[in-house]
Amino acid sequence: MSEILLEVKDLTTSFQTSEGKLTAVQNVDITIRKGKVLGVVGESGCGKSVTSLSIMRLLPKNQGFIDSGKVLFEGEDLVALDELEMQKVRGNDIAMIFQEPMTALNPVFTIGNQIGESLTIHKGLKGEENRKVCVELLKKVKIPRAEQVIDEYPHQLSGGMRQRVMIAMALSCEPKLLIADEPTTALDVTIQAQVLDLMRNLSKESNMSVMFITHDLGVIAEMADDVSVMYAGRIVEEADAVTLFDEMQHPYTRGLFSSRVMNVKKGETLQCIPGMVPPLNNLPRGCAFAPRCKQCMPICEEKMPELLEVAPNHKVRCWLYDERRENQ
Amino acid sequence: MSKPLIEITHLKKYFPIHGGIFSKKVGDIKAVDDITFSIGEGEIFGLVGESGCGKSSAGRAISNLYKPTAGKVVFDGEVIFDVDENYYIEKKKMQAMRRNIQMIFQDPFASLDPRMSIGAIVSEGLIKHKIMGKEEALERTKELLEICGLDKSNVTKYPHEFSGGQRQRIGIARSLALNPKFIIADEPTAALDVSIQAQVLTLMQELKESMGLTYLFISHDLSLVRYFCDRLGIMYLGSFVEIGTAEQLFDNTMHPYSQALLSAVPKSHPSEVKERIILEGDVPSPSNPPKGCKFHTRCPQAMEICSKVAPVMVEVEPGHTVWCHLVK
Repeated sequence: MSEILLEVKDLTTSFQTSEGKLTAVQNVDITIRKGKVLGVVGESGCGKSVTSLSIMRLLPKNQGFIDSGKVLFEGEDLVALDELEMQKVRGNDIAMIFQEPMTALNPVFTIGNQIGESLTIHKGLKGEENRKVCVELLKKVKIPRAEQVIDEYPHQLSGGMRQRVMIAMALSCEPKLLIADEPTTALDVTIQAQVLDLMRNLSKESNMSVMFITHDLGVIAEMADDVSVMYAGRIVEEADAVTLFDEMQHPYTRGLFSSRVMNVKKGETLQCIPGMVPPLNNLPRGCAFAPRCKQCMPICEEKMPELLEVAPNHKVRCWLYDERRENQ
Repeated sequence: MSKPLIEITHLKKYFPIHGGIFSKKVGDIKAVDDITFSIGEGEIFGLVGESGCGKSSAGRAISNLYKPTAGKVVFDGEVIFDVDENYYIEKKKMQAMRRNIQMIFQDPFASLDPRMSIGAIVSEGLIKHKIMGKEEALERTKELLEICGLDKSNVTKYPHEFSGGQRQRIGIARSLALNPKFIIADEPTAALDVSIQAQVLTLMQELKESMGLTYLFISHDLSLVRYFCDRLGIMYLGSFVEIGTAEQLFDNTMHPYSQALLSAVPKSHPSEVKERIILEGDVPSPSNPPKGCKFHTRCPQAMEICSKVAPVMVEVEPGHTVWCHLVK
């Protein structure tokens, strides 16, 4: 196993809302290896984006709080850093790209302006030199006519081009970790294939780790080395990508997999997971997936199972694989 | 193919572009540019393409929600419009016709009026068309909600109380209220999570069987249409590039654009090796589509003739037609 770049340990994040405290992420452990891609899969509301925002310490002020846990980046705990120190990490060591390239770019500044900003802040590059690096970055993400695009505004670019600009921006300080939150969800399949291809090559070239958040198992199959599956704020299964696809264990992972139309032949009925994700303020007492699970046992409704290793590097949170269920 | 329920002939929909001081018409956006196809009774026809290819405009022009620029649509033996003959169906008749043609929209958050209760939303058509009195309509609404997998007690609730998947079920219940023959579903699952998407698709399939429906299914997701549709038309910049049954299109893909679209679908397993055709660049603007074959600017196999002459329709096998110079 290669070196570890980032380790999230026992992270719990909650939000203060008018309906009381909501715990969005509970006791999450995540490990990202150097130069590897970690895929985080789950449906909306499962806490995958909140996990990434907690790592970046970008939770909305006075609403989102990290209750407990550590985020060890190269051995340093990011949760303990003050805001100024954190600013040096953000954009420099860890960069992030978002789902909506339309809203993540500022419409009143040119592309060059926006990419150049982090170069000025983190590297002190100014004027001609700054511009030169910007053009190089745009070429690196394969934007045609880079010299002209640098003076254009976001509205002049298509969705795929904007996402490339976002990637160029994220790469400007050669980060060690890139967090990509559903970067291709808003794009067409052909453009998605372009962007995924680009990200994979960039990660290989510069040995950059990527945390790839998505709801699409196909994109995971395409990109990830390791996979963590999340459900209702908890990790329910984690393994390397090949193991996960070959030997998925958790009923939720299997349900997700069989809900994908591409795994079903015409005429066969689609297997679907009944019901829907429980609201965070009203989680069931035991396993959060129990109400939708076909293999639910009495103990599942009583007690949350633990994340246990079922094979080397393959962990599952499910009573089906926990021998202690008899004694409980 | 069974007896055609709806026949679309040379349909065009252009949107004018206004510019200059006097907002003169300076050009056209050719959203739908001469498409011809028909859908048999009980059939699911998929309209596939990237964003901006005109698939949604086509759906709306067919249902007479947009005033067509040219072409003819015949539904169940009755001409809805024939622009060349300058014939448009009378308003009264069209209203009656609307009972048979219903739509399901993409965004379940935008397509339900937030100030109407679910009962009012679903029963609106029944009351408007004077099919039932208010009380009877409410009973029918409860029935419809149950058919669509929702509890009948929901009639008094409002849209904000429901999740995306539930809202889409309400949208489907609304479209079924008038016992239509034909439903145009415009990306009904694009905004939903994978597990919910499977639920909605299964519901649509069951309804098709039990109520004898015919669907026009608009989607950008190839793996989805492969599973769901009987016949497909792949669109690029307002025109068809290839039409055929799902099997013909997926097993014997002829057009380079269809091939590229297919190859862009993410893999289903991490160790799967996939030959990928990555298309360069973006879709050109529909206001100024390339001359000759519209796809030649991005086509990996473009020849000299492609930029000059638009390809004609070639039938490669019964029911499988392609518009490409490569196909003889």
